[in-house]
Amino acid sequence: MIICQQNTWDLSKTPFFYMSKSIRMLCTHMDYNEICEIRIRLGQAVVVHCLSEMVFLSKKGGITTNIDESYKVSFEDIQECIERITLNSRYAFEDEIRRGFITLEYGHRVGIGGSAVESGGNYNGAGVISNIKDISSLNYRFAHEVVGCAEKIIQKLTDSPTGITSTMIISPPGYGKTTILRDIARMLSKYKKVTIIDERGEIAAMNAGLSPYNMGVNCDVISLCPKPYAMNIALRALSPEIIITDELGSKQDILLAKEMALSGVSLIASVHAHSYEQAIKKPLLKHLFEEFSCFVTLGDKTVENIIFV
Amino acid sequence: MIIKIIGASIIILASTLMGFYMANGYVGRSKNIFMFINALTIISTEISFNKSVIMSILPKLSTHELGDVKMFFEQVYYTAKQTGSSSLKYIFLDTLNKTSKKNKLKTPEVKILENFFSQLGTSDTSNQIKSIENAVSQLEQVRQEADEQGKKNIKLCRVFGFLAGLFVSLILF
Repeated sequence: MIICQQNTWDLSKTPFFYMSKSIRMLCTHMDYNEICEIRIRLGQAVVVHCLSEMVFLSKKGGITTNIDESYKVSFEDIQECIERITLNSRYAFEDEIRRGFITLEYGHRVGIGGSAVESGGNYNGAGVISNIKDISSLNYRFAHEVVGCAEKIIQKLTDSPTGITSTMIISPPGYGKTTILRDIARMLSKYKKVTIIDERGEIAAMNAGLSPYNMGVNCDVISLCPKPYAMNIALRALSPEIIITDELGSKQDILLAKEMALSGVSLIASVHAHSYEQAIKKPLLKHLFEEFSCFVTLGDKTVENIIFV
Repeated sequence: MIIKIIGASIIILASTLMGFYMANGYVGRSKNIFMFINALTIISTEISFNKSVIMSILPKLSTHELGDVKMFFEQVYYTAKQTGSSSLKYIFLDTLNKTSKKNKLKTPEVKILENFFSQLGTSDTSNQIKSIENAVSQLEQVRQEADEQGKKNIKLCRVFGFLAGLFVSLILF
């Protein structure tokens, strides 16, 4: 159950801070640590995804499993949420809105659903997304710091004869890849030079040069920088032994990751897939697999399997 | 007789000061419009080069020489901080209404600023810059009109203040 009598969290550090006042007030007694996602959709109930169940935000406050008792999201709620997320400065988040998500302080992320505005166009007829208008849904993803969640992985890696080798974390969205990567960085940076390429600002969640999380003593972070640039900066200027990055997906990412893995640096990265078998079938990823010698698959918030090849 | 002369001097002095005070309103208006134009230019630079959010631009404005207008931005910043309000637009408009008299602003420039602040932060960078440029050019025009009006009235107010005092003194004699 995700209700608790008295909250112990600081509102400004949680995604609740970025919600409309009426929704925020109803969330007052929720246990922040239990929540994975809150989905706010225009005209619909507020859906709360927690560790064990999916429930609705009750109009009386707290949660309910009965959709008839749930709080329905108004247009004003969505507008207020957007104002709070963008800190009343939409221009400062135009690139993020275009990409469909905004990373908040402390690494929380809000996914945005609406109608894309296309401008220009290339020879394929596909234009460039210049904006997302008529925003109708917001998905607040809660970042959590779970200290020690990567202990099992680190143990296996350090025990292996090859030492810390390039490792791929495989799991579907929402299974805790970023949390694991954050903990890996924290643990490895005790005795290795670690560089985090934090393209979406989720792993280290840097704010004014400081991370709210304990990232260890020997960890450099390049945040909010496209991977190709960041990888070059890391290799040339930061001389890392280990590079940690999130969500390899595009062709360019994979090519660069391959180059990096061949540059004498261990790469620890995450990819979206249900299992090792599924990941290996991905047309783009299969070119990268030979550079990785350890594959970690995640179950629901736990390390499911560690495979050395 | 001496008392009469002293009394008359006080009356002339008071009315002259009154005239200067009234003239000062015209000088202050033009000066504050100019300061708002400066503030908008700083905001424009912060938006286009740093993409700074409004709440981080406001304290920076306090470090610039913006005269009485500085107080306006400080008040907006502290109100937003204290209330934790979602909408800066209403804080801007409310503060503008509360401070416009003190800042010697008149309806035309207040309307321009109201229009500008209600659009601030609601669109992308290029539209924000256009909105600032538009507000600046409108304020420049209003300032020019205020200057012209000022030139006519400042001298008039000062002279009228002195003459009114002199007139009252003569009647009393």
